[in-house]
Amino acid sequence: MDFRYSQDQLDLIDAAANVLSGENTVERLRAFAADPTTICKSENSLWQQFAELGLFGFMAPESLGGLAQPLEVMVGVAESAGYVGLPEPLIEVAGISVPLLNELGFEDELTAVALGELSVGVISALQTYQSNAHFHDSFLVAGAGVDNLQSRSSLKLTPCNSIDPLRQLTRVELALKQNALADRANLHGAVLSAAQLLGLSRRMIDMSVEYAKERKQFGKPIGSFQAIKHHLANAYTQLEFARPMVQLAALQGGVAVHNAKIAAIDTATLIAETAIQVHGGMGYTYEVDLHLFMKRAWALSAEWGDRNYHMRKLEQYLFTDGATLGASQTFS
Amino acid sequence: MRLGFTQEDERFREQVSDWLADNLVGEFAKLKFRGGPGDEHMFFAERAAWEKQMASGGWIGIGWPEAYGGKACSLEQQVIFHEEYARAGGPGRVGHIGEGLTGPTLIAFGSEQQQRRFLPKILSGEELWCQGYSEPSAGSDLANIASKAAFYEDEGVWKINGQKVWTSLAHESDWCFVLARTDPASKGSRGLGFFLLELDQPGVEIRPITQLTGTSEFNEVFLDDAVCQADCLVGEAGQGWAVAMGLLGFERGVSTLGQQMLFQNELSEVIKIAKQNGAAEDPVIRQRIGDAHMGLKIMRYNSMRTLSANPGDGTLDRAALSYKLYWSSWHRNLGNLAMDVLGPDAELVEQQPYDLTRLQSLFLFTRSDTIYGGTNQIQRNIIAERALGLPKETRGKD
Repeated sequence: MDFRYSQDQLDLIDAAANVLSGENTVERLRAFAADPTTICKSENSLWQQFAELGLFGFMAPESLGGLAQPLEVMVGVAESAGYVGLPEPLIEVAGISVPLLNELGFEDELTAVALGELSVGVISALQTYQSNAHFHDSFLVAGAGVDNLQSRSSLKLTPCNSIDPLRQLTRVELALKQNALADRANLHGAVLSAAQLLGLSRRMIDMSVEYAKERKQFGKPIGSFQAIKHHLANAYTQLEFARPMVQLAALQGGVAVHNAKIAAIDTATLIAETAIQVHGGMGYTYEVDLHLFMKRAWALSAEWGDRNYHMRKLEQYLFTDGATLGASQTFS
Repeated sequence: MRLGFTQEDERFREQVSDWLADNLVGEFAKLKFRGGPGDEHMFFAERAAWEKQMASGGWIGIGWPEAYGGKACSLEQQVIFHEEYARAGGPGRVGHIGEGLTGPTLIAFGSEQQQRRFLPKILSGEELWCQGYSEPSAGSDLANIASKAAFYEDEGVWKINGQKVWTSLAHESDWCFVLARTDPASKGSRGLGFFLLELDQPGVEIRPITQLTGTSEFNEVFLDDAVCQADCLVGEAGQGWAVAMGLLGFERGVSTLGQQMLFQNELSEVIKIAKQNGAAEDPVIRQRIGDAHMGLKIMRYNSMRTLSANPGDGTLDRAALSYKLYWSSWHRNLGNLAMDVLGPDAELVEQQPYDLTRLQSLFLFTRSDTIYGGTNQIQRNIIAERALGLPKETRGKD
């Protein structure tokens, strides 16, 4: 049993994290939020750096110019993307579209994606809205007749507004069924949205800890008071305990995915509440950056299956007569 | 990353389960699933005999270094042992304090003479231990210990006066490790000594405390000129706090990681009853069972991650700081869930005078999980200060 990443994998995750935190600063997010139409692919140096670092081809086969990394390593990148509140749909392309393109044998398209020349999104039943779909040239559409790649211009995408100012949403007018490809998309989507929720949670804890060390009341930092400490200790415990579930889901799939998404949603919900409370009145302002991360957490919690969806699946599993439960089964 | 244990570990698992299957029979068969939390008073003599049976199989102190009579098993193997023990329904141990706390503490801090005197008797299951830390005025504020130890030159012994409380299994134990002030003028964590005290003597009076469950696992221990031989002081006089804290480091070790198998047995029983009495039809109950299952999985894989990150010297990383808070809250909630699954029948006592069902005992006993071994409030302080680096709270000066 070993939950550690290898040194090579850690190096890849760190390289991605460094670019993300170095470039996608809060100032950048603020500028985008002030004018969301500036979130686009043209003259986007970060998007270009993703291509140069090989991040789009992170999970593509080496023969097609990729890094051939498994989903559990992509989880590390997705956590960093969550930590910085990345608006660009990097994780959708690299973590969801690429493995599906690979399974369906779209080799030319994969090569182009790995080079950053083509961007492909996914449309499937459990993803109600697409975020920043204008980055994508085409979409893998799952569950509408024959699974296929369709150009963006051939799809009727209706724009809609998000509570998260950094997500420009679209809705697609198609009756979608949950088929095998959609199941595969959901596995990756649920695991990677859970990973981003962990990153967002970690960011909100870090911000709250910093604030609690600096903000003084009664002549002392509020972080020295147990009333504040205990909230943050609960938040930290929840986060640390959710992390191996997301890694497990990436390795194992199946019912572990439902466990992971629920754990990540519960973590992000608790931590968003805690972070606002610790920030006091400032936590309720637009001025403090916290809300940018809190709103992303809110949005991602409902994407790729919300809590009720995953809990229903988990429940069905637990109460089936053939459920592999009991001391000799649960831990196998 | 790699899931699952190595082949060598799996062979070890087989050895453990084979031994338990061969030995938890005959006179010991009735001990299966007995003597656990809320049931500690049952079959004590038989469980003491079982401790010696385990000793004969070489299953006590498997994590101790070989030089001290242990098997130097890896953390993974120790977890496997605890898992298999719980899976087989191994009875509540009577020697766990000696094995898990006294032994490792003496190996780390004891003199060679103390190691030779005490370790073999722990490994043979002949001497049982209890822990004399808490006092009426030293609970969460453990350093506020008032018991005093004075050295009598003429007799060459220490005499200890004071009162200990919440002393688990004192009434069944042979020895107790005791924190007491060697410097009567000292305050706080300075001026303490760590003593090994024999309980069968006139200066020691043990009074069981009746718990919510109607049973008694812990005690008050009154020390009235309790005699402790000169060579039963561990470390130097005045340095007891360092020994006491080193011991607490062993307390959050592998045995708590293996307890998840016990928890799984409890959850399975709750699910079984929910299916039988129809509670499983209620979507709210189903969701709470889903949550409980998820929490258990979370604890399991978090343990595995903690073990993955272990530096190999028997200590665990900082994430382990959160474990007590997590499991105690989970277990308390399981107790609540069990009662809600039972519905109005949860109230019925099976037999007079106070014969509780396993789930009723679970519910009541889990009220203590969030208190003993450091309350949830103390755990949160530790996490906030050590893991998150928040400033320490100002403490009272008198």
